[in-house]
Amino acid sequence: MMKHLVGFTLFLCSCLFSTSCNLEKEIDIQLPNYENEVFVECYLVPNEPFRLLITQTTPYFDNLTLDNPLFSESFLLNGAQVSLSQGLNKYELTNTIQIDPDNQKFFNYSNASLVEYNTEDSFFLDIILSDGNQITASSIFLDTVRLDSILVQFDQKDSLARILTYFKDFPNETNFYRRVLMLGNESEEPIQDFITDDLFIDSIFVFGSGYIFNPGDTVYHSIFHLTEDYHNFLESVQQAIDGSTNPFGVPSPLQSNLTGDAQGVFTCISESKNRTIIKK
Amino acid sequence: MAHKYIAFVFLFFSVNIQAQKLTSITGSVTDTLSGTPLIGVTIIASNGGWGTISDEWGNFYLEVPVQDSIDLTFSYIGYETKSVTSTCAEACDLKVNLRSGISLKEVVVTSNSYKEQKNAVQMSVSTLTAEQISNIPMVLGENDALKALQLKPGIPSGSESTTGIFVRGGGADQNLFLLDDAVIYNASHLFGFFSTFNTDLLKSINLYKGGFPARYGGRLSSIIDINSKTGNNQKFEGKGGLGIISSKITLEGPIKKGKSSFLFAGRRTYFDIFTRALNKNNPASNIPNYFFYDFNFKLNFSLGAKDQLSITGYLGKDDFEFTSDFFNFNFYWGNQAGSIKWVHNWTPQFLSKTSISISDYLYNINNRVTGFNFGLGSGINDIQFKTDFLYNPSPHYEIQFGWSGTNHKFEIGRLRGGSSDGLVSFSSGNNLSGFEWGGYISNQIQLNSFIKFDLGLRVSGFLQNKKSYTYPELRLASNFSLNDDVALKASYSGMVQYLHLVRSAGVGLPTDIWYPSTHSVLPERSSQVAIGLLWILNPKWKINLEGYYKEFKNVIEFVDAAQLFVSNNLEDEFAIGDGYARGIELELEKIDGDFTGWIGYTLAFVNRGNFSPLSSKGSFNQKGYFSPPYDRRHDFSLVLFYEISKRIKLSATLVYGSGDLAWLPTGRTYFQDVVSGNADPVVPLFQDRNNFRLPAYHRLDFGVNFKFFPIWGESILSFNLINAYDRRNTFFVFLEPQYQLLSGPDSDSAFNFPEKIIANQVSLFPIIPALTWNFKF
Repeated sequence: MMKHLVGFTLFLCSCLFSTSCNLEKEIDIQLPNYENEVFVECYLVPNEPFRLLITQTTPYFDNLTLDNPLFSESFLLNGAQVSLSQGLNKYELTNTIQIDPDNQKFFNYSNASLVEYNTEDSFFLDIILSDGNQITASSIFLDTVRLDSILVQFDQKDSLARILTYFKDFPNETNFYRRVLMLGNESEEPIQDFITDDLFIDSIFVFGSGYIFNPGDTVYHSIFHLTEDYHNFLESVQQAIDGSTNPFGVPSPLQSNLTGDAQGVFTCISESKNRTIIKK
Repeated sequence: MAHKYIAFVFLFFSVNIQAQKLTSITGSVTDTLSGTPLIGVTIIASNGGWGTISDEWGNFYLEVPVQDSIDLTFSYIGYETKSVTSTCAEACDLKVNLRSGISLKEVVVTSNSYKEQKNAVQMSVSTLTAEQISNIPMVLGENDALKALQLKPGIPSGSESTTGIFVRGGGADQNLFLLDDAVIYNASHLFGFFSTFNTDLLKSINLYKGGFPARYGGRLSSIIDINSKTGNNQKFEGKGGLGIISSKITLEGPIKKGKSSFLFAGRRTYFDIFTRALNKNNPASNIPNYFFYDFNFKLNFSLGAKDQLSITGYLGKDDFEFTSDFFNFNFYWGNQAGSIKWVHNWTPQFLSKTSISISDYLYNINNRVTGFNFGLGSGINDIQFKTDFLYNPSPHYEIQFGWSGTNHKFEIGRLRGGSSDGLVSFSSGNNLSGFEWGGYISNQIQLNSFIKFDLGLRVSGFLQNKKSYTYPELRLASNFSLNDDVALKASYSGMVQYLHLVRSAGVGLPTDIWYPSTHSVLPERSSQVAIGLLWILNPKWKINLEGYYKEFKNVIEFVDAAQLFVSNNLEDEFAIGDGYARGIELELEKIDGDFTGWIGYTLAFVNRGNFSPLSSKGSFNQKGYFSPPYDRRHDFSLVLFYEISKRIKLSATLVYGSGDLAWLPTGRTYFQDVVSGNADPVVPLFQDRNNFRLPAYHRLDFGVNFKFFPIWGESILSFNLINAYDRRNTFFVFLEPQYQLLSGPDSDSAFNFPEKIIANQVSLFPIIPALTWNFKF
């Protein structure tokens, strides 16, 4: 909705003030000094290796170019001792760069063992940085959502289709979900990506798309069942981005779920995936 | 504590004013041509210096020492001064008509007599005349009372060309807008770019920044009291205008000549006419349709010598619609307000005003997609009963007292939606109610020719779901006349605000939600001390200097990552803190002659802090005090009017203000997410709030009004040149990552890596000419 409002306002301005040459210009901003922080991203995905990325944040307007010899030192944070444990199992992660080209991800700590989906026991993350500071976090796999039905509906002109994904909410508890929709290739940028809770839902969720798909399109859709802290982290990420790009946005600091002198997120990924080929 | 206050007030109430043998003179002052009452007319008894001003119904009451004859002088800006000799031995009643001194000049507002201002106990009030408002150049030629008020010292605006006001450190939610006693909850159209008040029907607009009279309550920072005109009870007439984006028309006339009158005014934008035509001719354009309208009416009845009855109404609506083959998005919002007011003169010295008013604000968003619908809305609905009494037992003493009760109904974040087959449904929101009441007494005492006091006490309360709050609000004001030209003034005001505005964005939007004080959400409170000096340099020039210090308690901010749009328990998103503001305001004004205007300057400091979340789940990142975005250090305005001839009038405004504060991220992190192809790999890291001051704001506007006198009436052609030197002021700043393609170990893999961030400033408009045509008949 806000996009429509902002768009309309800008349209109004452009119509009314057509004498304008350029109402936008680049400016220099001098911000207060900023001290770099540690940022951790660790997602445990079933049947994938244990791996995570530890980086250092940078002053907002600093350049971080790849040809900068300090890139590796100023961006990737190396030399930490990283371990993950679940019950009696403990996994030490080694400090080595790994790149996942399919998903366009890279990591600087990993262990080749594969993550097992297990909703009984929590995972614990323990990081000791080279300066001795300790970062810890815990998470657990939630039940994955069972997709009840996926409907493909064509518009009145019978030319474009939309997808409706139905599933039942888990009863007697507050749940948080993330819906991601991708077209053509799982590595593409999502065409739909949002998070929600179930506070206003009676029992059945339906996530719909617009009439945007052509016959023959392949659509990948995922429903993530989120822990509350992961939901809050994602919500704060979105608000932080909105706060820097949207004139109506209200900024927010990140809601990290790590303890210690660091920001970031550690979570187990409970994802239900489906692929649909649009057919008439 | 309340008992102490009451005892204090009544101590002064019992001051024994020196007795003299007096006779009373009452009467009313009206416009000769239209028969409309004139408020704020200065009435001076020439033998002895006794005087008063007419009230909002044109009535006056004056007691003077008994003499064979008394000469009274009636003066009013823009009208010919009139002298009347009264020979009444006993109390008498005068009907006085004043003729507009310049037949084509429209001056319809409260007194600006320097003497009157200097002698008044009231301080910290800004008043504008309708003529000033109509002559100030405005964007797109749309005259706007609130934007005109922003040119007065101590009333900085919000974003470029918006109607939000931030008075003496208060937020935009701390202003009470009263239109003929009815509350207007959202005083703007088009997301704040235009105010809801049609200037053609304004009779007076007074903005109180401090020294609040005890009859007002309910907001911490300002009261904007707007009175609409009374219709002409002698003859039918009309006025209107054609502008770039809207047209307006006002019609007025007698219902029964000399006894009753009507006034209707309407305004509507026609931007949607063009967008609908564009969309029809070019289906691919799909431009949203938007319009707003407002409609006012006022019926006035004179029910004999002692009674006046008026019925007023306001209806305003904004409508934003966006449709395509597959969905229909409709977003509308608006105010409805109305009041019935009865004024009764019990005796020449004793007057009562009783009113019943209603006020309703709501917004509604409806979104229909094939097979599904979604609705979101919120609103507030009031019914208020109020009675005010005014008693003038002597020229040296006036007492006002009264009470009011308001029943509030709140619809908080109503969300409804689901599928047409009923399989899916969702809803949220809750309805709350509250009862707000207040009673007050105010004693205005003139101890001698040098010292006046206004000692007032308001006691207010709020009842919500068995939780009750009661607070005393002390109102004290004093005037020490050092000589005929200089007065020192001081005031203290305690204010309580029981309603809170939940702003879902950094700027005011129609989707903001009004929320009551509850068991957990305490009423907001403020205390303000102000001192001032009013110095009449000569009959044409005046300086007014005021300083103030103000403290806030229980003000509301929102927790980090607050969910304000839809929530079943909005209070969980609140953080409660306090604040303080201090500043100096200077105004140099010239009101008489061909060349008039004012220079205003404000130096201000605002801080808020000590916020703690109401919910244990919430967090608030900022420790200690911080400045809100509207902490504008310097605010300067120059407003000039020059009357070249009866037909041509020039105007110019120059404003300069320190830039607003913006909350910008100081750090950033690379965020790759678990999902492939993350579109936003740069996550800004926000730390201290409002850590960057935007570039200073300044702008120069020109206007010229040409008057013509066709046989049917009067025609005014207005040409405005806004932003004359094409200053690109900051409307907002957005931050844009620049990416570099990062190659992977094999030739197939590559991803965008955010290399640096560019800051872009967006301005709202360049230099803009505008032509509008107004007419009267």
